[in-house]
Amino acid sequence: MTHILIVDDEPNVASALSLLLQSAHYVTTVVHSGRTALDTLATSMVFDLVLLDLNLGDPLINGLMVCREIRLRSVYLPVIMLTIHDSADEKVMGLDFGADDYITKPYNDRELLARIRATLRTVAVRTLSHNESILHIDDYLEIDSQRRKVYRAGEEVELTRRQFDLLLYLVLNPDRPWGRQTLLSRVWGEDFVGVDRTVDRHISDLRQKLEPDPNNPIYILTEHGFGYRFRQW
Amino acid sequence: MNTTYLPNAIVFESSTHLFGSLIGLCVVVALLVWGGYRRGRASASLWRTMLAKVPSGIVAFDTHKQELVFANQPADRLMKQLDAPLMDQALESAQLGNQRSWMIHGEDHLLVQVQTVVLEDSRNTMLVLLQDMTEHQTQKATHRAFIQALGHELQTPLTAIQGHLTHIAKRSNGEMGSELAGSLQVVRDEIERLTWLTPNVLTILKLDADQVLNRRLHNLGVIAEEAVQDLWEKAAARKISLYVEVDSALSRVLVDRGAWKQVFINLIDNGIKYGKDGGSVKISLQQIGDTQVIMVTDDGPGIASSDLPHIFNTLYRGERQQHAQGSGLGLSIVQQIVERHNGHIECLNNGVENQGATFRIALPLHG
Repeated sequence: MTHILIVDDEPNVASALSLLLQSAHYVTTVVHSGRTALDTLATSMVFDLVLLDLNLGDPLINGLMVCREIRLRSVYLPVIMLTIHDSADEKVMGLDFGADDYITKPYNDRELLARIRATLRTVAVRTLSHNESILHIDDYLEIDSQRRKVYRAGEEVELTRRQFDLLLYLVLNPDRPWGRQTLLSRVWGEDFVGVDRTVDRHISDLRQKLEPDPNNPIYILTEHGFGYRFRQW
Repeated sequence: MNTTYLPNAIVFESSTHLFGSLIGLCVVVALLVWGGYRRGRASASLWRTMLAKVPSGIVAFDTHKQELVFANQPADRLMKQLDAPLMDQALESAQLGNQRSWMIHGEDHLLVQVQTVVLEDSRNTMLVLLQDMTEHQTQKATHRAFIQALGHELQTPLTAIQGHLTHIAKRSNGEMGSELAGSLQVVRDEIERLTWLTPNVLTILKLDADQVLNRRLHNLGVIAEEAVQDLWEKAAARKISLYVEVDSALSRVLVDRGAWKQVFINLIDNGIKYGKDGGSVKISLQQIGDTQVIMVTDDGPGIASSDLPHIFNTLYRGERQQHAQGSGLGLSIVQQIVERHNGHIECLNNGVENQGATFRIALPLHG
């Protein structure tokens, strides 16, 4: 069972978060201050992720400080920051302090759950040993994120570096529509000067190599006029 | 740049809007008195007395002899508290020969705005005006803190209410009677409306407070796509397709990311609100010369010609809004953000009737 620590000084927000995560079959522990969060983490190693409010109502220990402390631990513990809308600088600061992702309040249920899944998967890919790094999409398609290999019906498929990066990004962020410009900036990098066709060409190549029927894809789906979505897995 | 021609060929250029009307008035008074003195209309003691009465600091330097000729009482007081000697900086500015404005810090968080005034017909004399901005800065900081606290206080209960309402709806699992379910839906819809309204109200407060935009180089195509991603489910609920078309030659532009996300959210949300069920909202970004042109097109009823001139007015609710909820805030905020980036927005109907509306933004690349 995945165990999530919720740190929010507002009891009503914390309980709403807890109910949502429990309905998605996560185990939750709720604390209301940065101090208690650190004490809890010091005595227990059971947590898989921390959902951390940035503004904990305590100027001495706010979310950024808790995040910094968590990063000093030897075992990597993913952190998702919760911030109030539009505090762009705070978001950047949160990521600078080592948060894996941030989400703004009021949050969208589906998006929050999708971000938690994506963060858990991304961190797993980064930290697990070789044997554990295989992403089992289904019996037909498997991705070894560490060795950067893809298996189709048990057979290894050769992918270029970009094709693999694009596939991994979509696989780790499934069931959400991704626009072409966003994919270019996330996979190719902000400075890459590319056109939408670059993404289309890579997707088409990936489909040729991975899909059972490239003309009727079941993994990488097209969002007409916008971009692509990897199916939920 | 405002250029005011004063008697005796004194030119004053203000490169900053930070000087309020009071300092503007002081400048005019100081220049008139100085000009009058130099033309022999006032005696030395009289002009000194007059300049002493001006509430802002006024200093005159002889740039040739590199010495201070005159400082009124407020200037004297401010100069004693400054961290760096004023004269060095002023003389350096004089060498460059143009009007300049900058800030100097001093003891006890003192912040002073300095403005040099070059006297066209007297190259050896330089007037320096000093304005204590400490209180102004403190007020701005307090205002910013207030807006931030307000944001927190409004959004925290909304987050809790929304979360718990979703839980109630999920747990009742269709077992709630239709009357109660109807009431619950009303509450959820209204909370959603407040959730939309809150960040917009905060943006208006920030724009009113003249907060500095955090402008960095961004690809507007990516920001537009993020907004589409956020609104995807809302559009899908009414089977509305969202299309994004981005010019391959689009350069990155200096924009405030958060503000432009709001621009796209508000325009696309507007398109969804007034668009046809099963229809589409198209977002296109093109680069034409030194301008990026952003268009958001819906397929709704269009905008009544009587409403077109007022569509960006704050709180204006036109005929279009009778068909759907609307606060009249969204478009006004869009216009304010676009204009703060030196851009321009207009709204056009796509056809004569019922062929939708297009919002067209022109944003200069180097604005």
